[in-house]
Amino acid sequence: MVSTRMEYIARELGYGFRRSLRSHLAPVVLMAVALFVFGLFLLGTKNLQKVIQLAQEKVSVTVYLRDDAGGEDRDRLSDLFSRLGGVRSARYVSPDEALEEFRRTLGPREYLLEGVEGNPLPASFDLELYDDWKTLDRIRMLVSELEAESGVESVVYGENWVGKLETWIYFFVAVDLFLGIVLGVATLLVVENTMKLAVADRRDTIEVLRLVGATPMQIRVPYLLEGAILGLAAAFLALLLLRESHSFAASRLPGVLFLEPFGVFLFLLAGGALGAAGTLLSLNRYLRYKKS
Amino acid sequence: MVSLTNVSKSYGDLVAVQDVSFKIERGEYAFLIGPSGAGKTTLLGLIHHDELPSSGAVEVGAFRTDRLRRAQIPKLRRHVGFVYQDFRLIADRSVFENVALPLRVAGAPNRSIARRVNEVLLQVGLFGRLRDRASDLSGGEMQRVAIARALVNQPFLLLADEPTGNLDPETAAGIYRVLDRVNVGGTAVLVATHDRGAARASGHRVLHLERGRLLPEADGREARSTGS
Repeated sequence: MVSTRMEYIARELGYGFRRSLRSHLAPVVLMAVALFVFGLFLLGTKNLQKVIQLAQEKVSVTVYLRDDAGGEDRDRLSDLFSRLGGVRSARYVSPDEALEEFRRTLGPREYLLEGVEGNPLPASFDLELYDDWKTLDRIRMLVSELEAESGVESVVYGENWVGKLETWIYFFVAVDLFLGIVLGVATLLVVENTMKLAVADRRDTIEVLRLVGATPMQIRVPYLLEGAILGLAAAFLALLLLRESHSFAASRLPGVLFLEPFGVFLFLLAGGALGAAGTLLSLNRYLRYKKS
Repeated sequence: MVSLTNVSKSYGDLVAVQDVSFKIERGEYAFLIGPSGAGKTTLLGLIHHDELPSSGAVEVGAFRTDRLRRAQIPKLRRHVGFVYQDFRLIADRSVFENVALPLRVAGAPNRSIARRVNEVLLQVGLFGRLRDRASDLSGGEMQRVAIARALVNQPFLLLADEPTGNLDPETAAGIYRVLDRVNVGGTAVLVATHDRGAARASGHRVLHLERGRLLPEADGREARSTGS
């Protein structure tokens, strides 16, 4: 019984493809375009996340020590940093190292230091924070705690920069989410309408299947599989286009990311699922019983 | 075997069938006549459960509309063959595949499908045309294929809605001969037609439908004798 059912499904699937091979081209291309646009959005989101991550990596906190702070203060603060939750690492910068770094920063304008007597730069700690601590609120909390410590002159963290970064992240995430929803719905509508046309082309077969006693499931399954295969083909085509677009972008902007293998798998899966869902929605109108 | 009890069917304000009651016994042959728009197609649709009645009960074999679950409707259709005026064949499939479809849907094994398809094609006079595409057949041949498809599951009832409506008189007579043979084999037949002459000439029972109402059967017999 199971084998005759499978044979029936395979046979109907075969008839479907044989009958509509040429007319399937348009749905596949349309779906591929819709999936390609959605794929571009996914790539944009992925690269945006990378940019945000790189920007966040630049967020750091510098703790300047008082001139009279001694080795005891330095050790106590080192110990404190290792105990504080948000600090990933702390690097002590002596006044001499600070001067050397400053000299390197000046480059050819190093002569500006010629008139300076002694070393006016204080010792400091450069703190690297954990990613989830790189928010304005948490940094402010950390800074106020550190400023209260004896031996600490001031704490600098680029308040302006962190604030702006946060605003941009919120903005990009909101736009990204909005675009994702709009494009997701648009892709679904394109797929559904495309499959509606493909199914309408075969309504006579559906009518005959109903007439001879096929159950709604027997009618649906071959069409669902057909829709899934078309969706899969469209997703594959869209992936090829995305790959080409990525190669083009990467030749101008090195480091641009593409989907990871698991992402590619999910993209293909989504294409198949969309094709099947579009078919299911389109089929229902032909499978309804007329009510009294 | 088929029993309609006070069946009415409306589409909004339009009453298609009103308070119709009749029975068709096992192995019976009956005609349902009436002008276009009288409700003949609606009545056949109600028996085939393409539509559900607005009121009343339709009983077909062991199936009753008021107790029927939707999942049972396909099972009912496997026991009731239906032949349409426009044949409703799948044009790009062969004669064999069109006729075999009800058996495939029912999950029959391939060997019995081949045997049964050959049997019914022999019965309708199309043995040897297995491989022809449905779209390559004449109207009369298409209707024979449609009858073969309706019979292949060995239904207890065959419904035919204007089965000769698209055919010339000679071909139509051939189709009626096929239906007679089907009935002789034990299958009940109900043919809806506006062709009173054919119904009268058949000598079978005639049910006369006018504006959705069934006339008393004496009137139907009268119509048979007066003709149109």
